[in-house]
Amino acid sequence: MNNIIEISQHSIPFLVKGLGVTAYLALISGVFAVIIGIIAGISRGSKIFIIRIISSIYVTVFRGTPFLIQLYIVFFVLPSFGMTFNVLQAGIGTLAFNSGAYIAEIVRAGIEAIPKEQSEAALSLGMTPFLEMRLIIMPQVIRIIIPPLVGQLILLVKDTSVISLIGIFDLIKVGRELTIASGENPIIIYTWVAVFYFVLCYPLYVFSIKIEKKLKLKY
Amino acid sequence: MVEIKNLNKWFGKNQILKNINLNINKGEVVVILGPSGSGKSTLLRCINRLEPVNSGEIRVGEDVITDPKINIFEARKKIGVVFQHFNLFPHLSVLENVTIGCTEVLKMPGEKADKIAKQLLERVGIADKVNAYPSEISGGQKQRVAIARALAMQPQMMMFDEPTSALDPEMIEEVLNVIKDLAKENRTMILVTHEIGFAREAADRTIFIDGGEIIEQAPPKEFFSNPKTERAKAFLDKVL
Repeated sequence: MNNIIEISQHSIPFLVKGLGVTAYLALISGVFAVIIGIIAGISRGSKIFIIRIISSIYVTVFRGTPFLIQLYIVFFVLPSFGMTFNVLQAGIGTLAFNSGAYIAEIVRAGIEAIPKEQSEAALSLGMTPFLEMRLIIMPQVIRIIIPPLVGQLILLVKDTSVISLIGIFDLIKVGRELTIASGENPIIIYTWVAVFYFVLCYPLYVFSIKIEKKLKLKY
Repeated sequence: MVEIKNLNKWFGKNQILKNINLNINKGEVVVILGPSGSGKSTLLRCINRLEPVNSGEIRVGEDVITDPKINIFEARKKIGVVFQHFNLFPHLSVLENVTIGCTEVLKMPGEKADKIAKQLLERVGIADKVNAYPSEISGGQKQRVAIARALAMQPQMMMFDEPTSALDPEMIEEVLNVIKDLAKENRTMILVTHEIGFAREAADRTIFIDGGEIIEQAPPKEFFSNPKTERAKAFLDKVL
């Protein structure tokens, strides 16, 4: 028992640093993923063929290949074509585009769930499609997609762990170093790692339930 | 006010509107009658280009709606539309439903828009519901909000697409009364409706459409008492 406390005491400061890196990766790539997802999701219903086809190819390719291979291509293959990214850029960028593809599908489904009469009423008031999307469609879409969107963001938090494979010192990498390089007890270390991931994800889950309730009250 | 020349509209292989020619004068209240599926609603939807036409020309005031180069968003501001299913914006309050066109499309200051909206809501008899959401009010109230929403844009003309067809019988009257009131004000109005009583009382002209064609048009008195065509007679026998 004393042993557990002792190992925990001197490991946790390292793990907290790793947690910080993981939180940073998740936050930045999460913000970009939502922005990319909304743009790509709206584009999939565009009247302009080329926009529709580009967004459709993007979504299909990113959803159809593993995140890890996307990461390897960006980090190890693109440099041979003169595009070099550091670990952070490659990790955040790839995760944002990967998650953005899934969010795009969520957004597209959300838009399709809004009756077309809403669009007709907005257009009849003289709104441009941009205004219609911003004022009428998206506010209603957001309400429907909050649960799947938060689900996707929770996946994103956990997917940051894959980025450790190109050498970022995030939570899981710190855990691995502690067990392999410093020979700490893996049972204790990995339990803490799991707890820390949960600590990051759980607030998202609570937030999702709260905001869902709040939006339901409104109308 | 509205000029329609040789208008044709197809949905796939079905011709919905066949060579429609129609002029509507400023201040005229026109009721379009006809069996369901006859193309009445499609005709309205062509007038503000919610539906594109296949051939022909539509002019509303100065705007040639069928001209692909026209700024259709500008043109639509001048045409108020009231839909069968109200189509209120569920995420906005009653007041916001009415002001959103003023503030966001006409770029009116918020206070001015609020004032206009409140006056209109009072006029249609729901001043006490300004802060309610559409889900909290009845169908008749919803439709009156929808009328106020369209009026707030100060349109040159109003179109009503079966405004009472989705209402419970006891709510039809309250909506029709609002529309009758508007009809007295020398507004240009086009209504698609099955309310024969309303057409008799408030319309300047009735237009009977069947199978995508204008079969007959006349002042309501003449049309209802003395229809000229067999198709109009058959239709009136069913609805009267």
